Amino acid sequence: MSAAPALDDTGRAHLVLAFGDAAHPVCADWAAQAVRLDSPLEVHAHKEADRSALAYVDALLAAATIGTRVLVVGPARDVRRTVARARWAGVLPGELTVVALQDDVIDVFCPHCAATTETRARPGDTVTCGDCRRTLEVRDHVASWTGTFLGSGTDSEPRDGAHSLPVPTREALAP
Amino acid sequence: MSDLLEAIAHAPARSRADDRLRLVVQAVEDAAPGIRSLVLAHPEGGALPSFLPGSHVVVDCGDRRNAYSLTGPCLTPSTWTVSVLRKPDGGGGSMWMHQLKPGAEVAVTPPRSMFPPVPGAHRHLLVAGGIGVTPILSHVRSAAGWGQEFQVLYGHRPGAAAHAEELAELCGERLETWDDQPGFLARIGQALREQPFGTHLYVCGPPPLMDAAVAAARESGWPQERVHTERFSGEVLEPGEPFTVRLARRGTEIRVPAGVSALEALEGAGLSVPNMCREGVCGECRVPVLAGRPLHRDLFLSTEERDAGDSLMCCVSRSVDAVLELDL
Repeated sequence: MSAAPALDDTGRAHLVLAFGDAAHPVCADWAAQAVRLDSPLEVHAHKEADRSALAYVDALLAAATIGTRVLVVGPARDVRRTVARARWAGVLPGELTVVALQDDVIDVFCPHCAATTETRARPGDTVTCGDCRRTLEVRDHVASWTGTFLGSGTDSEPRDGAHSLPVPTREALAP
Repeated sequence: MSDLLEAIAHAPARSRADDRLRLVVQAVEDAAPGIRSLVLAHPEGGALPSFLPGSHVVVDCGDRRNAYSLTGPCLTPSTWTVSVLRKPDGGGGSMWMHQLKPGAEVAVTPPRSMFPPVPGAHRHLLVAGGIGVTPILSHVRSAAGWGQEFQVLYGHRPGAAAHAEELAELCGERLETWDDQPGFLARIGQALREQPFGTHLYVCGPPPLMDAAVAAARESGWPQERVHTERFSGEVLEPGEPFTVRLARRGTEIRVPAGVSALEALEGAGLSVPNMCREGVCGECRVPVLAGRPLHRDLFLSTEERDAGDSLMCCVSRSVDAVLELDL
């Protein structure tokens, strides 16, 4: 029984982007599979998907050629961040394999100030935006271009002038 | 017979033969030995419909209908240009096109897009073989105009490079031309291993080139979603598996052996189905499907229409399932 999903044997080479200690067994399994397939595999391991690791990932993806399969393993937060970078690089879903290890840390996007806050939360929880300090409810919605959960203002939050502007009616929006 | 006509009149989508534009040949020019470019325009002048790069039109060529790629600018065209390879041993359509003189009238369908650039592609790798350069030329025009990254590999017979000058002007160093097949194929294989993520491959040319390029892409690990081909008529189709058509309105079944088209089998059973090109180009022989999965082999239906699975071009398309039920 394999700990990791099977390597895509239609790929010409495999690029593994791994984050954290818990990713090691999955990396080892993929490496063993690559040996059996006689297909080149590179592992790039980082402690976490922080800014410098992601810059490195961007450079790797920019240098990679089509035919390569990208594999990402690590805590879900790091996987979401990395998959977002892969998407910007032009990697298609069929070229990507992910293993998200259990983790309750997520990135929450604040639509008010556009900051992203790293926090321990789940959809439905309320969190405080690390920048504008608003209270945000975490929506069960992940933007694949950023890997962030969407936050939205809660009712308890003070309203500003923008809230008193008229809202168009459904009829007014009809073509 | 009247209910057959009615069934066809009520087929899921109309035949596009009705939409044909009456155009005149404005200019004729030899693009290369055996390849003639025809510039088509409205008799009164004025704008023609715009089109996506890689689109083609179907032209009435005497008693045949042939598909030709549009090679000119696509956004606000006042003329459409097609290039026609003379095929003395073909179906006669190209010979008919080659005898046209300026001022001649032709009936042409609106452009149909089955080979468009992929929106969001970071880069386009364009591979053209021979007369297959025609849709690639409109891709190049568009990519160059929008400042998109692209690369063109063009293989042709020695001395028969249609549109080579125009391509060179548009592409500069992004164009490589080859007049020896082994060199061309080797270069395609090499180029396929050098493309960054976000690139899409487009191939148009003779079937052996297309098959070789598609196989090379697969061997290099390219997923199918990145590989786009434009297959033209004149290709010899496989005889296919035998199947049965069930005619729902008549309650009868007709056997379609391998190597025989559904259209021929229907005609053999005494039915008359409107048809024209008999090679999956014109859209005349479209019949409604009630059950079973069509195996589409035509050049007429859009991807959405194919996926809907509710009609097929009975001149070339066959059946995935053993029985295909038609609303006839």
